Amino acid sequence: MPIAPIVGKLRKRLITDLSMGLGLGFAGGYLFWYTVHKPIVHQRDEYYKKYDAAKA
Amino acid sequence: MLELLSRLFSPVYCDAPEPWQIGFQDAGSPIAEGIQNLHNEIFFYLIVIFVGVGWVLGSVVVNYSQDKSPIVYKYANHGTLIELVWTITPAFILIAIAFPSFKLLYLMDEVISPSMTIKVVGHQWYWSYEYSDFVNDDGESIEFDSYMLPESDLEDGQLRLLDVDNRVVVPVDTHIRFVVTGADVLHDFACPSLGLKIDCCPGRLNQTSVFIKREGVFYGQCSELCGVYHGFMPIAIEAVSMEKYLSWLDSQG
Repeated sequence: MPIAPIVGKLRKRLITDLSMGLGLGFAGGYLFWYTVHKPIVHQRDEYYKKYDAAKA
Repeated sequence: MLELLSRLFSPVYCDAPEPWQIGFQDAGSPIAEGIQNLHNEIFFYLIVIFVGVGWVLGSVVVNYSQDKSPIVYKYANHGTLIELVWTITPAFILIAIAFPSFKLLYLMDEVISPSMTIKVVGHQWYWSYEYSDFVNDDGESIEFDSYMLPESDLEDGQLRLLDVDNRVVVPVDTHIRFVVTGADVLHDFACPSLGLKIDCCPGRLNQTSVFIKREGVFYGQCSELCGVYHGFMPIAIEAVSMEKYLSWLDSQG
């Protein structure tokens, strides 16, 4: 059985793989940033606002 | 069950470690906040890399199997371009991580005009503290030892293996310098929620500083293996208002 020549790998796979991998990666990263990190910082800032107000 | 759920979903922890804790303790100083922010910034890159590499690996396994790709694509082996790409890209990622990391590292190293200095000496197996800036009625600087409370002496609310007989009492909103050393072997003065961690080496003085933003009791443990009772020489730092601190100083007469 003849083996098909390798053509269009870059177009077919590399661009798809890189954009999917990095796209999903950045999506996951931003999901973490906005659902985990930001709420913690917000909660901390709110705490210190109340704390400073109580102290003043 | 409710407690477990609240522990998993609430980012709030007290200033001591808790059973099954997987996150940080609440930051009590700007340095600890910086450490936690840096951790989260790096974690962002970690997720991008994990998902990106996982996707490409999965794609290679699926699309370049023996069945689907019986001959090797010639530029996949010894391909100069792809090797350049996978060398230079991680280098840029490392640089992106390194800059905030070094910034924090050098900031932590700064001892900004401290208002007071506390000398900390690690012993086998307790800590001793010396407030060199203050003297008692006899004209001697205030000094005391701090031993772990045995389980039999614990009162309600006190923490097993963490509470001590004499806490280090310090004022909030004050630049405090700790000068540390070891009396016998290496110890390490550490308090996670204050971002403190510094080796206590015999024959050498190390220094670090802390600025505590809120009142509370912050717990830490010796963090350098120092012998059989290494796990039984905790650190308890009690941050109080300046007024309470001054009255505590008076009581040390």
